[in-house]
Order: sequence, then structure tokens, then C-alpha cells
Amino acid sequence: MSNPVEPFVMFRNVDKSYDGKTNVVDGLDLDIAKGEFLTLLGPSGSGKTTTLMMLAGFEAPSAGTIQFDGKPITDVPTYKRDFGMVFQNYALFPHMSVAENLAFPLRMRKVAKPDITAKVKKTLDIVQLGHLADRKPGQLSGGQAQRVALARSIVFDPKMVLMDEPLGALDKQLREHMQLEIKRLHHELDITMLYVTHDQTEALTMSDRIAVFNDGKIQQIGTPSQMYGSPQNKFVAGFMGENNALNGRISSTGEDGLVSVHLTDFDADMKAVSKEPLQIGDTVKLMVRPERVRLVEKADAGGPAGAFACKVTDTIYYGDHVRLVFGADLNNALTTRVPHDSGSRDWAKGDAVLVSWEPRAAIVFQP
Amino acid sequence: MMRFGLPIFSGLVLFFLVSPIFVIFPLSLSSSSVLTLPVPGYSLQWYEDFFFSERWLLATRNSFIVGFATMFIAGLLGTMAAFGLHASEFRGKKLVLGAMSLPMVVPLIVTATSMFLAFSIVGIANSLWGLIVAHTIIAAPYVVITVLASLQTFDMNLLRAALSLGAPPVTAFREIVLPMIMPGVIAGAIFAFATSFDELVIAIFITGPGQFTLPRQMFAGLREFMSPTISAAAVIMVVLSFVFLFITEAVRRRGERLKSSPAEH
Amino acid sequence: MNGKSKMSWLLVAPLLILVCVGFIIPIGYTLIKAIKNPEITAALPRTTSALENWEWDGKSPPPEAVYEALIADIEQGDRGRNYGSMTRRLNFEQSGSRSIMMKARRIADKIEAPYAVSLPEAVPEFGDGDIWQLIKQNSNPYTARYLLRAMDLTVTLDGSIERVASDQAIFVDLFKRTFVISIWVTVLCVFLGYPTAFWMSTLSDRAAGYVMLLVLIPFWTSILVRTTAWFILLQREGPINAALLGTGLVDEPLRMIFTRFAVYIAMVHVLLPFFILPIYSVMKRLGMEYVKAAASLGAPPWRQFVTVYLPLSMPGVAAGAVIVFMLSVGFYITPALVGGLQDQMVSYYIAFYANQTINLGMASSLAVLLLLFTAATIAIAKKLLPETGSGIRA
Ligand SMILES: Nc1ncnc2c1ncn2[C@@H]1O[C@H](COP(=O)(O)OP(=O)(O)O)[C@@H](O)[C@H]1O
Ligand SMILES: [Mg+2]
Repeated sequence: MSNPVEPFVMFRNVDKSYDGKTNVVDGLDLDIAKGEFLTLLGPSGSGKTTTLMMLAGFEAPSAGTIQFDGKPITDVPTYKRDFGMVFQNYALFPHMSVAENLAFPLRMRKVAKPDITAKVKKTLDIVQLGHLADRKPGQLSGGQAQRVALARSIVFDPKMVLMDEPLGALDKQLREHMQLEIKRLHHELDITMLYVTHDQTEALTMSDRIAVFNDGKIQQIGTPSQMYGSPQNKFVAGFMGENNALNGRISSTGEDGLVSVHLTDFDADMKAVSKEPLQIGDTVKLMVRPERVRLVEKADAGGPAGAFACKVTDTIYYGDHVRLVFGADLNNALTTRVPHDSGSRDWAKGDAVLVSWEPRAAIVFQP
Repeated sequence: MMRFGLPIFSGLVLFFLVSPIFVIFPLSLSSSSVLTLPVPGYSLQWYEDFFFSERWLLATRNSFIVGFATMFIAGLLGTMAAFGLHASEFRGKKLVLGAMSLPMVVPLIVTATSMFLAFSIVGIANSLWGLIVAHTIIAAPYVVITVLASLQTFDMNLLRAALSLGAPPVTAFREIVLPMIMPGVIAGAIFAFATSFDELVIAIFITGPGQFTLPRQMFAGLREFMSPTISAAAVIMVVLSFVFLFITEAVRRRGERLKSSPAEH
Repeated sequence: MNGKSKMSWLLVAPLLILVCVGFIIPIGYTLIKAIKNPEITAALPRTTSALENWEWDGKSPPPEAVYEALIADIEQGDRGRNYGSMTRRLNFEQSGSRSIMMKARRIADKIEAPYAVSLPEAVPEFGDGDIWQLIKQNSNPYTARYLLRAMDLTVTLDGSIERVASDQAIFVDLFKRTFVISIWVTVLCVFLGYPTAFWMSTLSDRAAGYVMLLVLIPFWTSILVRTTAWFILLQREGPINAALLGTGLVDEPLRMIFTRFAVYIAMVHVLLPFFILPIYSVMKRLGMEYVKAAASLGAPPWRQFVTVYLPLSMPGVAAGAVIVFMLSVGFYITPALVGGLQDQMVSYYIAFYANQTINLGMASSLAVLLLLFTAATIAIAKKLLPETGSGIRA
């Protein structure tokens, strides 16, 4: 799957502009393998929906080609593309019952009546909604409506399913439940799915691969652990999960891909990975994840190499863990998580500590 | 004083609004040919006159032909145009909307004069077709407005969903869009029918006696000789207005009920 | 153009084309008619071209060549339709011209050259320059004379613009009257409609639904039927007079039909629902909260009303008033049926010139001015209230 011979979906150099001036999707190259669960992740307005709309056939690319199963599909109208779609507001037909909603795509394909009934029943059972077949959409709860929408998008055995922030309107608990359900469907049906969200947790938990969007461009594409563990640029590093972004200046460079950074706000020199060619003296942002920051009480003499001393400026209680904040300037503060259980130490404002991290846990980017 | 003054004042105003309409009911049933109250006795002679007169029957028939044709053509073109205007942002959209609503603001007499001049040139003055074209033009803006209003609450994702589920555009429109905007379409179509059915100024200009509609025939009657048959014709038209009003209100109330039904959460 | 806007255009096209062909082009054609002036050149092509180089000195007739051209035009032209239109056209500019030109046609066969002598002998008016100057002045294919006349102005033989004789100066008065009637009808609608709509907005939804029917019934009833009702009610022997006589309030029937009073009462009746419906929906949205808030701050009732409610409901009043004013400016049927000749509005004269005297130039000129009048109303309304046009229908 990681190295497809012939991609199922292929975007090549695709641009899209609504006003003829700015490209909201810009030079997009994207491959989706058969059976893959690919997520487009990015902030609002980054062009995810537009990309999905082009694949679905609601919008035509301004330039470039989109191929599906080896053939260009730009001229194929939506209704002949055979893609299931799920929308954020469900888009269930309010004047049709649940069963009629599911029967609709089958009717359009001129499936015989008895087959429709059977297929609708089977699909409703898959999403565990068999008992609601005669309800109208207005009589369903949000979660139920979402599952009907999901069922409707797969009932006709589409070649692929496209979902645009399908869980956006649900509360947190229901959303997490539905994430699992969609994941299960993906496995059971072995179907290609293109999923759009702005929620990085959702992307990390569900996807085979994630493509991070910003400003109409893919910033990075890869597996969740690649995206989380080795972001290619500052945007991805900041967008995927929590990250500290500390101000610094390069103080020395080495051949092993590591550089030394002088942290301006903490007056300390720390090592970090560099993926860009940087010169001594360049100002940079050093990114390090809170959970990779290690603390040693100052009282313990010495501490690990490359640690620096500072004081806790704030503690925030989270139940299972506590966050400690260092540094005076809140916008450039360093945060770390420490587990909170019976055996752990209680930190307080003003406590002096030594802070350190593995050189490979930190990355520098140009600001 | 305000406590009683306002209801009394309003009551009088409302009485002023409806009483003249109801006064013609007894008058039309009068046995006398002098239209006065109280009526000396009751008879159906004026209705007999109406239903046995070639002229009135022809006028009634013409009115219905033109009214239904206007309703269908204006309903169809107006709904199509409203959907086109709603479906996308295109250049010149404001201009198109402006052009389409012009017939609502241009004084009818100017419209009538212009159509009379132009229709004479192409030879559709003095024909029911000319009247149908004219009425369609002045009625269609109302259809566009009412359908646009109901499209405001229509979720375009429903149309997208239908297309993605394999419905060709026309089917998607018929099965998904149309049922949802039906109240607006019906209200617009009824208003188109009523507009045509009531319209007189254009009819004065572009119809000959063979194409007289009910209002045109009434107008001729009022100007030539005042016969009580006119009051019977007026009552018939009022009753039809009640029917229009009733249908429109029923559709509107049904639309409101649908809107206030449990939400999608 | 992308696929979606192509679809939009396809859907919009049928109605747009119909409106363009059946409405906008005809209106444009009518407007052009207001300045078209083909009659003289069509009937007298030779005469007009012979007159081109002639300069009028205030009295002398033109040279023989012009006389010959006129006789040739009469003898070789079509003597019927064109000539008739030409004489009517000249008569419109200068009454009496029609009979002069008719006489010329009658004796054209009987006189001999030189016509500069024989024609004035038969028809003395051809002996001086006036009639010739009139022909020359009107031989341009376009003219502003109809538009000028619609403002009671005319062009004299020496080319200056002045007011027409007082017995022909009817149009300025006509526009003034149209304006005054429309203003009064609007004022009356506001006066009657505002309190009524306010009262309706204080009712419970259920009650308001029923009361609303009393507004909707007249709204849906045809204008002609409602005018007919008043036509019957206001007759000399009609129900109102019968009631007044019966109760002894008057000794002889009042003259109500064919008066300005009848025009006002019928027009207000027709237009009042157009005012009540929009203002009612504004008031319904406003609710009573603001007034209650003002009351809780200790304002006395009339002050609450004047300082709080009135300004808030003003946009609705303005919207309704604009609708009523615009509709009444174009009124035709109602004044035509229940008013006297002195109560007719611009529309009546447009119909009169278009249907009865077939003076299309005049009909079109009045139409142009009426259109400008309406456009100005809309423009002023748009300026005063950016939210107008929010629906005649509540
Ligand atoms: N139909 C449209 N017309 C004009 N601009 C649009 C349209 N749809 C989206 N855009 C613009 O394109 C950009 C990308 O939007 P979108 O693809 O919806 O982003 P996302 O789904 O990532 O939030 C935004 O700036 C948005 O305003
Ligand atoms: Mg989006």
C-alpha cells in the first residue's frame, strides 16, 4: 500500500480558482491507493473541501488532471462517478424515510425492487439501525442521522467513499464512537476512503495516511507516525499534535544533522535536528513535544548533559496529568506534561528544575 | 381612550376593507335591475344571464385558458430561472434579476402600451397567445421571488448528495429539489394565475372582442350599460379569489408546519 | 465559464429571453416612438428636401421650386394614409394646419404653374411663409416636440421654446394632479393602515390569523371587482345614497360617483392591503419588547410610542408607503371608472392617446415621463431606505 504501482486516484498538478485570481488549490499532486484510508487534514479554508469537490465532480479543476482507475474523470459527470459521499450536515432527504433514503441510489441504478429491499435491510443492519427504517430524518438523533448517511453512501457498493468533516456536528463522545465505527466499516468493506477533517486527533487515529493541507498546498503526506514523529516543516510540526515552538539562534552546526541552538528566552544552548540548510547566527524556531521534555529536580546534582535550569511559572491540572509552564513570556513559553498519580511529585509555582530533551526529539525550522 | 379607540378604529378600517366586497353578494341575487339595498326580493336571474350569455361564457373560458397557460408557463420558466439564479454565482446575476423584476415596477399602462405596439407588429395582438405572453411576463417575477425565497432554506448539499448517489441532474431536481420547494412553486403559480385572472389594463390594449377575458368583459359592461349581470360576474370572481387565498394559505401553513417539525438533532 | 454557471445561464435563459423580447425591447421601442417624427418626410419627401436650403425671414414664402415640389408630392405620393398622418401631425403642432393641407390636396389637380401664384390664390395661407416654416421645422426624422408638449411647451416658428396656449396646457396640471392624488392616497393609507397594523400586531397569533384574512380577502380580490363594488355603491341610486335617504340624513341623493371623492375612496380601498401587509410583518418582528423596555424606564405611553416604537417601525412605513405611491402613480382602471374627467391621471391620457386619437408620439412621451417619475421614486426610496423591495407579500 505504501508504494502503489498504479494509484487508484491520481491528482496531477491540479489548480482550482473560483475568482480567476487566487488558487485555493495550487499545484496539487496526490495519489490514493486502492483500499486506502487517506485523510486530508488542514485548517479551515485550506482547500480540503475544494479538493474533495473536484474529485466528486461538483467543481471542475482550473488546470491539471484527475485520474481515477487509470482514466481521466474530469469529463465524467458526478452521477456517473459512483462515489459515495457523506456530508457534515448529513444531507439526508427530509421527505423520504430512512429506508427510502437508502433505496434512492439503488433506484437510480435500476436495481430490481426485491433486491433493493434486501440490500437496504442488510446495510441498515451493518450500521445497527434496522429498527429505524421507517423513520423520517427529522426524527433521528445526530448520531443516528450520521449513521444513516454513512449507510446511504455505501449501500450501492461505490468505488470509493468521500467524507467531508462527517463528524463535525457531533459531540465529543459520539464523535469518538463514530470514528471507530467508520474505521470498522473501512476494514469490513475493504473500500477506499477519502476523509476530510480539521481535527488532527481524528486524522491520527483513523488514517492509513494523512495529507496536511495549508494554503491550497500539501505540506506533507505520510503515515500518522511519520507525520507526528518527523514533521517536514514548521506548519506540520505545529499542526500535528501539541508542540512547543521556542525562539532561538543557531550557535553551531554539525555533520550528523544536529545543530546547537541558543534559546533566546531561556539563555541556554540545546541540540536539535535540522532538516533545512542553516547557517550559524540564523534565527530559528525550535520545536519539541511536551511529552518529550524531561525534568530533573535541581537538587539532584548535575543532571543529564545539555540540561538547563529554570523555574516553573505555572501549573495546570488536567486530571491524568499536570502541565508545567516555563518562561516568562506566555506566547513563547515551554510546556511539559508530567504524569499525575499517587506516587508522583507535586510541582508548584517557583520550583527550580533542570529541563532537557533527547537531541533527536527536537527539530529546528526557519521561523 | 386608547384601550377602546384603537380596536374600534381598526375594526372600522377592516370593515371598510371587506364590506364592499360582501355587498355585491346580495346585490347579485336581487330581483330588481336597480342595484340598491335593501334588495326588493331575491332571484337567480343575473346568474342565469351570466351562464346563458355567449359573451360571458366566452370571456370565462378565455380567462381560464389564459390563466392556466400563464400559470404553467410562468411557473415553469420562473422556477427554472429561480433555480438558475440560486445555483451559482455568475457574472451579470444582479443584472438578470433586475431585468426580470422590471415588469413589477414599470407602470402597467406603460407595459400595456409597449406590448400593444410591439405585439401588433409581430401579429400576436388580438390573440390569446399575445395575452398569455404578456401575462407570463408580468406574473413570472412573482414566481421567481417566491421560489427564490423557498430555495433560501433549501440545502444545496441535498442536491449534491442526490447527484453523488447517481441521480442525473433532471431526476435529482424532480425527486429532491422540487418536493422541497413545492410550497414556493405552488404559491408562485397560484399568484401567477390570480395575476392573469385579474389583469385588465393589458387586456384592454391587446384584446379584441373575441379574446375578451372576464375583467375585460366586465369593464366593457361597466362602460356601456350597467347591467346587474356584472354583479353576478363580480361575485364569481370574488369566490375564485377566495379559492386562491384558501389554497395559498393552506400551502403556507403546511410549509410552516414542515419547518417547525423536529430538527435534525 | 464553468459548468455551474453554464447551467445557471441555461435555466435563466428562457425567461430572460421572453422578458427581453416581450417586454424590454417593446418598452425601448415605445421610448423611441416618443422622439420619432417620420410623418412629414414620408408624405412630403420632395417638399422637405426643397425646403432644406430655404431660410425663413419671418414672412416671405419660399421660391417656386418648393411649390412645385409640394404639388408633385401631392400628385405622385400616396394620397391616403401618409398624407392623412402628415396633416394630423401638422395640426398637432398648429391647429388649423390640417384643413390648409387638405385644401391644397383638393385643388392640386386644378391649378396651373407657376404654383407660387396659383396656390396662394386658391388657399391664401400658402401666400406667406408660416405654413412652410412649420413643414420645414418638422421635417427632421427625430423631434423633441412630443416630450416638450408633455410638459406644456412648444416650439414657435422662429425656433424658440415657450408655453403652449392656456387652453392646451393640460399636462403639467395632469402630472401635478397625479402626484397630489398619489400623495393623498399614500397619506390616507398610512393614516388608516398604521394603527390597524399595530393593533393586529398586538393580537395573539390565532386571532391575528383570522383578522389577517380580512386584509387578505381584499388583497386577493381583483382590483376591477373592488372598483366595481364602489362603482355600484356610489351610484346615485346606489346602496349608500339609499341608506342616507332612508335615514333622513340627506334630502336628495349625493353626487358621489365620478368625483375626486370616489377616486380617493376606491384607490385607498384597493391599495390599503399593500400597505398593511408589509408594515404588519415589520411590527410583528418588532414585538412589544421595546415599548415594554421604555415603559420600565418610566416613559409615559405616548412618549414610549413616539421615541421608541415610531422610529423602529419607520422602515416598514416607508417601504409600504413607497409601494402604495408607486402603484398609485400608475393607476388607470379605478380613476377611469369612478372618477370624472377632471380626476384622471397620467395613465388615462396614455391610454387615450394610444387607443383613441392614435397619437403614439404623445402616448410615448407621457409614458417616458411616467417611467422617469417612477424611476425617480424608486431611486429616492433606495436612497432613503436601503432595505426596500423586501416584498409586497407579507
Ligand atoms: N464556491 C466557492 N466560491 C468561492 N470561493 C470559495 C468557494 N468555496 C470555497 N471557496 C474559498 O476557497 C477556499 C478554500 O475553501 P475550502 O475548500 O472550503 O476549504 P476547507 O474545506 O479546507 O475549509 C476558501 O478561501 C474559501 O473561501
Ligand atoms: Mg471544508
